[in-house]
Amino acid sequence: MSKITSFTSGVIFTLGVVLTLFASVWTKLADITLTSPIIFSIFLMILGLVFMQGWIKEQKTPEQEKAETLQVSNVSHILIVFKQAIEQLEVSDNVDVLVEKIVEIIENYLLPINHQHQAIKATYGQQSLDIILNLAQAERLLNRIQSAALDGYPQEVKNSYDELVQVTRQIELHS
Amino acid sequence: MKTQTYREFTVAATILGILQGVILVVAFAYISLKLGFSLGGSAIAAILGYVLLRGVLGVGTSVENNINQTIASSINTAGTGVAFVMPALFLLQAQDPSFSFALTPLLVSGVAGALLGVVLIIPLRKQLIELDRLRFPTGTATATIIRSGSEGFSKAKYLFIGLIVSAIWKGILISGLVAEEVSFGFGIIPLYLSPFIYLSLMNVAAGMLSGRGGLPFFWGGILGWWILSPMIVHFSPESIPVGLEAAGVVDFIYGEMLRPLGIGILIGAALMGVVLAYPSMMAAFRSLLSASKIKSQRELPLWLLAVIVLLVFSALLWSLIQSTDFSLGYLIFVVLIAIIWAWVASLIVAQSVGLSDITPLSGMALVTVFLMMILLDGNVVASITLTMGIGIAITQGADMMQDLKTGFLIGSKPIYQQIVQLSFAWIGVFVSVGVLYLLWQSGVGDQGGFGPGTTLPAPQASTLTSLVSAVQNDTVPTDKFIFGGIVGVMLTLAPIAGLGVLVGLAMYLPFSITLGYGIGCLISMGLEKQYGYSFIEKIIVPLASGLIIGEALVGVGDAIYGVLS
Repeated sequence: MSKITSFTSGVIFTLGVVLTLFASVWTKLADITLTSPIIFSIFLMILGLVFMQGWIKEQKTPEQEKAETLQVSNVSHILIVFKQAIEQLEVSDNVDVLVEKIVEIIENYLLPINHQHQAIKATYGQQSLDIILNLAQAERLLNRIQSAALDGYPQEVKNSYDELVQVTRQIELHS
Repeated sequence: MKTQTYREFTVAATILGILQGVILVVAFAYISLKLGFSLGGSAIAAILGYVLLRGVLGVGTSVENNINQTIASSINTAGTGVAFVMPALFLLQAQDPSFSFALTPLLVSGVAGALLGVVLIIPLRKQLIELDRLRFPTGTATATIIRSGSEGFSKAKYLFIGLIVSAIWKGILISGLVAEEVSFGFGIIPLYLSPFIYLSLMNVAAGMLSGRGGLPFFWGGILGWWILSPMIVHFSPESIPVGLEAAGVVDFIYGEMLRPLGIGILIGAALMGVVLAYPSMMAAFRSLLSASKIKSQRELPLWLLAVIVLLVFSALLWSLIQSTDFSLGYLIFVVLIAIIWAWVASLIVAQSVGLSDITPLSGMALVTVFLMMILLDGNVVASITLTMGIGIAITQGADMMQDLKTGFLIGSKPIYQQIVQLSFAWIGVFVSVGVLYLLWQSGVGDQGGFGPGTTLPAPQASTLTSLVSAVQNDTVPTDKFIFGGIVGVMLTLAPIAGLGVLVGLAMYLPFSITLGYGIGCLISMGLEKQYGYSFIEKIIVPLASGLIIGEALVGVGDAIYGVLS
């Protein structure tokens, strides 16, 4: 039933868009009355939108469900894995190991969260905005650490790591 | 391993950025008069930055190169805005000797525009880059090239494969062995379905970087050319002038129907987008207000942005007072409207560039001239003076956002990028005005140095003068702007991210471009389905970045060669 509703609302909306654009080819703004075809087509667009919104409220997509389970575990993992990476840097002073670790963190933890950011926004609403902003800050810092490591500036790596720890604490607070 | 402070905002990067920016402005101002389009300088500045900072001086870092590239592209972009608008005044003066204009108000308006674009777009950074996560294909490509300088060539193999393939392909296109745009109609598919594809790998690569998110752009092209166009031809033939040949019909449908509707959709979508994104914009705004405790995340404070807006307001007001007799109160109202429009248009252009890498600047210039001519009662000099400021502001906003995306991907501090863009973009205005003035003076006899009939035809200026004529003759398609605006509002209310802006942009552009981009989106979606999104990030992003940079480099090289020869 819901699939038919989603399909139907999409068709009605698309039809409204096509007919409004087509009617605008010959319709003059000054000549519009309540019975003008363009009024009917605008009404179709609105109807399609109303159906669509009604359908969306009833749904909870698999992405949204997945997003609910993504957030906390990844936040704590980012912190743990990154601490390990920094420890390795302090012991070995090995840039390759650090860069490899950062790439691993980005690929295994940040990318899946970023991939789901629309779903996270949809699931958590207003509350998720702060989480997404904090995650973006963490991502920028990881990128900075990677750049500093590749450029050979260990002090900057450590400074940025300290900032990353602050950001991850903020994420934990929000979550 | 180095123990000193991480090099970022340095004298070397600043000087190099200014030098590159000035050289690019001189070259690209000339190219835009010759060919009618300009080019982005970010990727070129990043490559030269790497060569000069690290190769020659032996000191460059990734974030330092980002500062160099931000400065160079800001100067270049400001100059491009001047080169698009100012030649129109010279041409109008050549047509009518009684027409006169002063240089100082233009310069003041241009510098004000360079500042305005940056301060208007800074509060939207978190919204567009961190919340909406727009791709900004050229910004991503520039970050990839900067990062590859540090990683070493072996780790950037996909980037270089893409770069070489794209450079060779662009070379083949330039040589004429293969046409840049080919028909797949085979004499069967009618012209009104626009059976053409633009064989640009850069275009396909932008689609590959956008993936599923760019698909509405493809849908917009199909809506325009495979649904609306045949409907117009078959069900409303009376709306097409009698006697046009097939190609003329296509030009009419595109120029008089789809393009104005596309502009309207873009404006409606942007306005509705602001309304819908209000909660997230406020969250981003609060984050900006609270002046981040994290040092590397800081941005220019809002009070400073407000002060600069006031200065810009005063400068634009002063430049208007020089060429109009309206009351001060009315001129304040006009400047206020101009600044609000600059913000909306900056948002439209930044979103378009972020989603598709394509800027609808000429469409925004059309609306700006139209708005200013109406508000200033047809005063051409005052309208173009204000249009120049607003045009530069619009391009600066998109350029700032593109560079901030690059900065995000390599971990730069946004505040440094914002400071350099604000501090140096104005240089482009002075250099470009100087170049145009010298070129105009170099004309033989009574003829100016550029314009129709010379070796520098200045097609963009001709377009702008025709826009002025359209407003004077009341032939601007305002009805289509308004109907398009209604559709844009509705599309933005639909639950598909970026639908309104992308559909509007697709109808505004030729279908040959939309088609290539759509193919890129489909390729990316197919690969993601098959191999997962980490494959896209690890292989497709550097490969597509290489495709963009390869074509850009050969394109710039060819343009400069064409000018020199």
